[in-house]
Amino acid sequence: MSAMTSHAEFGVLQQIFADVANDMRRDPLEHLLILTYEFDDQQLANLLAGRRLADHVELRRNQLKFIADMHPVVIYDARKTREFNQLPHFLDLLPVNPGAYRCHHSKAYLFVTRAAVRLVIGSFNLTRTGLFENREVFVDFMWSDKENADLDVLREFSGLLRDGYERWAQPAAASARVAIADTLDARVARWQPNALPGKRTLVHSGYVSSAGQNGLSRLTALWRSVSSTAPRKMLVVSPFFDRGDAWLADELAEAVGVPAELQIVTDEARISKLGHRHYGPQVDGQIRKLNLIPALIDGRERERIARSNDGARLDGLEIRRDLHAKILVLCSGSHYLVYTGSANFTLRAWLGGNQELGVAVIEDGSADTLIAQIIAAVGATVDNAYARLRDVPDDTEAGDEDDDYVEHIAYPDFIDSIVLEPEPNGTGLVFRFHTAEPVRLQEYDIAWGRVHLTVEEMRSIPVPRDQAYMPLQGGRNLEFTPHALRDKKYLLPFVHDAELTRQRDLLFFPSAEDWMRYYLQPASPAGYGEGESLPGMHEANDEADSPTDDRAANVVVAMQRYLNLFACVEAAFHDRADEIAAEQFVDAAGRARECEKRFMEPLRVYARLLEQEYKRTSGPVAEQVYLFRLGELILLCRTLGTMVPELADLANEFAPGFATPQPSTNLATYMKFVKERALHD
Amino acid sequence: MKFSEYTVTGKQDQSIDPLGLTQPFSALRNRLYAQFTVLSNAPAYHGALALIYHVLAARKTTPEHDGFARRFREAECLWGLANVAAGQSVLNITKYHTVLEGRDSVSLHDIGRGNAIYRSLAYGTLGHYSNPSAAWGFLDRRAVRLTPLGTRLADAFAARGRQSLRVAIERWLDGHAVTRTELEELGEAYSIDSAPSSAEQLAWHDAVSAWCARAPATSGLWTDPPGSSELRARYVDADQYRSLFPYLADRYPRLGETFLQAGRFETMSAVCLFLFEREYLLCHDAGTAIPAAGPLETELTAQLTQIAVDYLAQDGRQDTKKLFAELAGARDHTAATAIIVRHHVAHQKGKGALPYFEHGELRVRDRFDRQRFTELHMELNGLASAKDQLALLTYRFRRDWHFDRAQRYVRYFGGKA
Repeated sequence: MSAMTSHAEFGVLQQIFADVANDMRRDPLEHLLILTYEFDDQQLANLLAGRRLADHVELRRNQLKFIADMHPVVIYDARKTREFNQLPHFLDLLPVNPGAYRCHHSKAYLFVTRAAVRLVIGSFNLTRTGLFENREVFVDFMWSDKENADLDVLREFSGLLRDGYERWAQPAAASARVAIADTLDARVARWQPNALPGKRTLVHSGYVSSAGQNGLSRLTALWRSVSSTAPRKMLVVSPFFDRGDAWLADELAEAVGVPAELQIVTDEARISKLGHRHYGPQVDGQIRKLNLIPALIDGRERERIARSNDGARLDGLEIRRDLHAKILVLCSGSHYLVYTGSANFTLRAWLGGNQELGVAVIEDGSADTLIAQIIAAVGATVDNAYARLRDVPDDTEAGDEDDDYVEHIAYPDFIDSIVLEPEPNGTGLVFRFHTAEPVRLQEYDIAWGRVHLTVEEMRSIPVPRDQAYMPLQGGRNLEFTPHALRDKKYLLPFVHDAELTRQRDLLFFPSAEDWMRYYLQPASPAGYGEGESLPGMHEANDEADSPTDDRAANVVVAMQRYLNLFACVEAAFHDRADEIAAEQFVDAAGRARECEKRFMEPLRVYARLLEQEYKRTSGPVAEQVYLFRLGELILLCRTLGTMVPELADLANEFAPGFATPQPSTNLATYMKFVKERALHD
Repeated sequence: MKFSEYTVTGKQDQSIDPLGLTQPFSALRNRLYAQFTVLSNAPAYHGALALIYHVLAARKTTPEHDGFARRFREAECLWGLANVAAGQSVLNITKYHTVLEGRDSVSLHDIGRGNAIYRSLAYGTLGHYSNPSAAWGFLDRRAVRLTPLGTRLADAFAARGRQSLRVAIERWLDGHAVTRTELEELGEAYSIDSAPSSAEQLAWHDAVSAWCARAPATSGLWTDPPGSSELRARYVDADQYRSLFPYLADRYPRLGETFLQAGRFETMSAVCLFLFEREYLLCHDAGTAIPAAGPLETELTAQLTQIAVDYLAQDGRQDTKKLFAELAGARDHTAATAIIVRHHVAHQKGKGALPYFEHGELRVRDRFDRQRFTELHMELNGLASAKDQLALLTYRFRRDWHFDRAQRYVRYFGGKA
């Protein structure tokens, strides 16, 4: 890892995401994976499209295509499924349902670009409050050919991704998750020979089912590598604490010993949720401290916020910042261990079934400076408020805990996964349900938006495509209404099967011209904000009353326009051929994959689009236009085949469609030319 | 370990444009103030931009060369750090603060090639001000080279303080360190809030004169700009706001038609957005929470149709896929809303985005706030006349026509504001 951060710096979270987007032209994004408890549609859509996370914008077709090609994966807590109306298709939403009184609470953001891997692990969910408002904490890793310390963190993370989610594996969606793990493993193998030793370690909980393998045991083992005695001092920063009559502090004392000094930092507004018992067993001489974060931020913090927002005026802006960071510091005097991550100071987080993820680092020396910095960074007062606590908290009712479990009666958790796929031998779409209790599907009304689904033998009756929520945004969930409880509605997302994923471009591009325009101006999120431009950069102008609209209705003008566009497409694909010829690939298979992705898939889609357009029209002119367009495509493929050997047979793939029983003289001449020039037996 | 900083996220909804009104609006606004973007707030950036272009051109680096934006940012860093050292706010202030933190002196070498300051090259002086500078005539039309006027501005800006900023930037680019005290001194003289020199003001006056010669119809906006108190008074409430465009049309006869057109456009777009929002919420809530169309909608549509007829009778009208043209012929409320919804669907699909709803079926949830809409609806129903209702709607959906921005510029170059 590049040691990108020291202690207690401030960072604007969206800058990390903007950095990746800004660098996209030079270093394209290949994979994106998010682990979160919950997320907001808009923030995820912005992240996927390389937009600023605070933007409130719509995804355009090019962005949807870009996202679909990248095939991102979002793993989140199943019970936090929302309608996701702004989310695109061909993005894997993988809900994790760990069972009662548990949740998927890990928060990690992984960006795999062609040259680097960036991983952010912290306390923040991909929500508006998590990104912009709360007091959150995170650790940022980057690995590349030049930066390869802490490679074990990446290796462990890859293992977690591959094996830790196997229990909730959805066969149709596993490929994207596993493909990411494969990529990470390949990168680790590449960087390992020159890797520098690192100090950081992943600390996770809830992923391994064997007894004793939890976050606390991992933390204890790390502490034992530092000291064989109890910590001299322990700092806990947490917004949430145990409710009930069992306490993490007791378990911690059992595991690592009772710290001589225990200091807790939390929001003043939550003081009623905290009591003496949260400090563990009472031991003579132990020093106990409580630092509270006032509800209102002070003038100094307002100034800092104004500065960090490029001088934004905060007049009249009510700024509310809830603590959401989770930090644990254990000090021996000569060393200290710092945990940063998703785990609250609760049994459920460290010993329970929650999936939690964090990073621990062991440093030499005294932690006093660090602790002072942390207290200042979260805006806590230095006064000790321990005396304000009761023995046990007086408010043990369920509150607003971020990992709170709410029981949903009749929640359809008997369904393992739902897959959307093309209708076999038909043109519609079908949902396939994977469950060990298929009969229970009949206990629910199931709807896809306003389309009611009839389910037989774990498959829905085909939905006509013109009624489908495809291919743009929204309609990412099925709604389940239990017959017995009509006022309850539960949402479950689905994934797309491989065949539908392969057909995605046919859904994205309404016409061959749309396809051409995409390949002439592909989505490459550059992170430019509204009104920003660099000299020489031309913004696409997407909305104008153009005087050329009427001219395009003329068939000659339209064909001329088509030819102009196609000439540009030819040039763009020639450039691609030059690029791939210059690139170095690890093996022939890698090169073949890239050829498939960059040439074969798009050009096959283009041929299908031409055919679809032809079928929608009729008459001899339509046939001539179709054959002419297909002929030009065949000629292009022929040229590409001479530049890239893997494409040598591509032109022949389109030969069957390049035929007509009674061509006119001119058409016959043209077809003869194409066949002689580009097609071979 | 890093802590997250609070992010101010206001003003983000401008990008949502369900009816494609932004483009005709921008075209109309450009007839008044073509020199501005929504981001070109502080005129001092133009001086810094011109100076950096000048310094880099002397080093044979122009936008035609690869890496210009990066080199520009390297030079801009010194000016940014000087602003921060002097306690001034400047674009990328946080990153400059980080660079400066804990240092008594800093050099370009200290910043390092991978520093965050280099990551968003479009976010800064070059990205925000090169196009406006070209519009003012400080750069050529392609924003590649300084014009003679731009060179004058660069020279004038460089010589504000005791220490030449040009010399400081050149030394900075050559790798010399600059102390915090030197940065503070530079910041005192050259920050975005520091007073311009008389030579700069003269360059600005000439830029304005050249602009007025190129676009004589708008010269009044610069030679006799709308007074701030008159403008402020008209922005107080809906009742006052309705007099804004007639007042401006009267004050600037050569722009009279444009201002009347702008006023009509603003009213039409406000009514269209209101009616569209209503149709959306009807679909969103399946009609349960939104009052049925009544006299208010009927009256608004009638007014909309009439304004569209008047608007289309003017030369130089701006439309969006013939929306206003079709509305001018709408028979009634039902027809008008059908036109608006059809237009929305075409517009959204045209840009490759999802329609909010189509064929009565909701596609995107939570685009508008039902409670806010209902309150506005009730407020409109409580008004005595259709004219008052139009005034309120227009006021609520008013747009930024750059009047405030222009005033800041006029004050900067010592004009009458």
